[in-house]
Amino acid sequence: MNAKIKFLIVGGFAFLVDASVYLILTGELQLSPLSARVLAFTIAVLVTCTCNRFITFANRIHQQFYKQYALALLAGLISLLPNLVVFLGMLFVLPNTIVFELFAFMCGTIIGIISNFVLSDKLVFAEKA
Amino acid sequence: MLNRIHPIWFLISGILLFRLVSLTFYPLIDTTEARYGEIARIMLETQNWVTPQFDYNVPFWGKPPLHTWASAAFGGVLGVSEFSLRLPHLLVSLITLFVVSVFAKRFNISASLVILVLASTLGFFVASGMIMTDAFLLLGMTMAMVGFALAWRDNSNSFAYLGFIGIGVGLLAKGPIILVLIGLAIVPWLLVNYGLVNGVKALYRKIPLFKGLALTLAISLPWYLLAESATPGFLNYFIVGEHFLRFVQSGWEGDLYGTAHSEPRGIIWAYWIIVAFPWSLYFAGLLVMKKYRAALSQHKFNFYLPSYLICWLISPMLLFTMSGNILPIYVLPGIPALALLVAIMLQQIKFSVVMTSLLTPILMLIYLTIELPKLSNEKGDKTLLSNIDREFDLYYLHKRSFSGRFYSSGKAMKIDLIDELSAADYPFYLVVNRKNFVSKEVFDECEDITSNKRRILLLCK
Repeated sequence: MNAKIKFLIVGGFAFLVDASVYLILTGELQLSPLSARVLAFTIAVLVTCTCNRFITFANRIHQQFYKQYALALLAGLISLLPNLVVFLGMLFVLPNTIVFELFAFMCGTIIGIISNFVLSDKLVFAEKA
Repeated sequence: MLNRIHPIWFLISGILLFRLVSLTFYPLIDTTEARYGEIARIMLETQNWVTPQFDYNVPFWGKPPLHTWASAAFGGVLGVSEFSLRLPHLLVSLITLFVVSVFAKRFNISASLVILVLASTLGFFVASGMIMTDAFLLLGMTMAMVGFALAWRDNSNSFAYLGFIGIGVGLLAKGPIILVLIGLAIVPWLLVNYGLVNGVKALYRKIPLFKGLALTLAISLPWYLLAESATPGFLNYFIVGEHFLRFVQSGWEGDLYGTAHSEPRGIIWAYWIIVAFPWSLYFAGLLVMKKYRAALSQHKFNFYLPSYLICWLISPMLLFTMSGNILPIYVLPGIPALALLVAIMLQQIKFSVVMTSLLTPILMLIYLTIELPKLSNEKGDKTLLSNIDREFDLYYLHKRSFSGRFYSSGKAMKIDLIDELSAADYPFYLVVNRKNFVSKEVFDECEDITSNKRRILLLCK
């Protein structure tokens, strides 16, 4: 199985952990949506970082985990930028219907995933020199 | 250690974790789930484990009790809540996944791929966390079909008995309909591949029919006899009414527990596309491509597996094609066969498989966070009753909702006329339908406490 599919699987798993944590925080623990979102995102990045280190890029020589985690958070935030640019840009251009909105959301997410993969490959999990 | 686990198991565990967490996130909504939840709650409260009750001392003859037993038992151990009543349905679904994975391994099909497809199918995902009969029927059907195929191919009596236990489970989950579903899957397969005479001979030779049927009866018959003895008339209503008249008469009027549905004939095939989503569309895409179609015939199974799976897949649709009184979830017993077919055709995980498997959880997340709060307000009384003083009596004018009964722990009482309240102890709560709230003077002793889209809660002092 190549690294791209592994990366996607890890991303899917992290998304589900993110959604589960968010549901617990807003439902059972009654946190505000924003606090829940930030906390769930932080945990999801931790899960992604751990799984990518041991699964997707397992055959590389790694630097210390806390450094990778900090870089993974940074990569996640940087990838948010192309994601939002594509999403908002498409909303601006396309007709205002739910179908196009979902399409724009999907395109934004895909660009975000690609950006995150490139950053993970070249920056977060780059082989230690 | 993590790198020793196949990555696909992370995705599967993510989907199951998300389903587990979501069990607590939404209230029981009228009618189906709130009704079965209330029946389970009454079973636990009254400790009458033989006859499920529609209301106190009103027998519910519409379905056998297996799923009610499970929900009531978990309610007894964990305390009655949405989570505890739904949890056994998820656990039973996990057993179904395990049984399907055994089947896949025996036929050298990727078990993880089969589980991923099945777990991420919309119908499976929904049924695995709702208080309904369907997760248990699915388990019974899966055990029966897996047991039969492996008993046939490997001459294994153990698997044959697994199949007969599955039939017993199906009889206690939904009734004799399990026999029709299995018959509609196996008989056409036998006729096509072996012919009538050879098929019957082989069946007699390979399957321990008499001992197996004895096992099935030993599992299921005692409850049927006990139920008839406890409430005479049950067998006639359940066998003739629910299994025959219900399906042949659109809008059947003998239904004791609601209104029979009246859907156009053949709509079950459209329902399949929805319940099997997104894999129904993915499967259709695979069928169009020659290389994936060819995978079905190239695989060496030492068994007529593709035709077996197709017969299994379509048996619910064959049964319900001519019926108007149906629900979409009725196609669920055939869905494991779809997962197996997709896995045989694909053979390995692909980019598109990962993306497709995430569609159902994404849809459910959107539904849970955006649509469900609105739906809960329209179709359930949990929020309406969340702050009532449990010491006061609670009345529903004209009609009690199942969710109202469940969330008041059975204390909600129904009245047909306002005059009936003259003997009531003040203060009390009164729930009225918005339609009936035209004249405020009738309720002038009452204070409007809260409301939802359908009902208003009044406190009368």
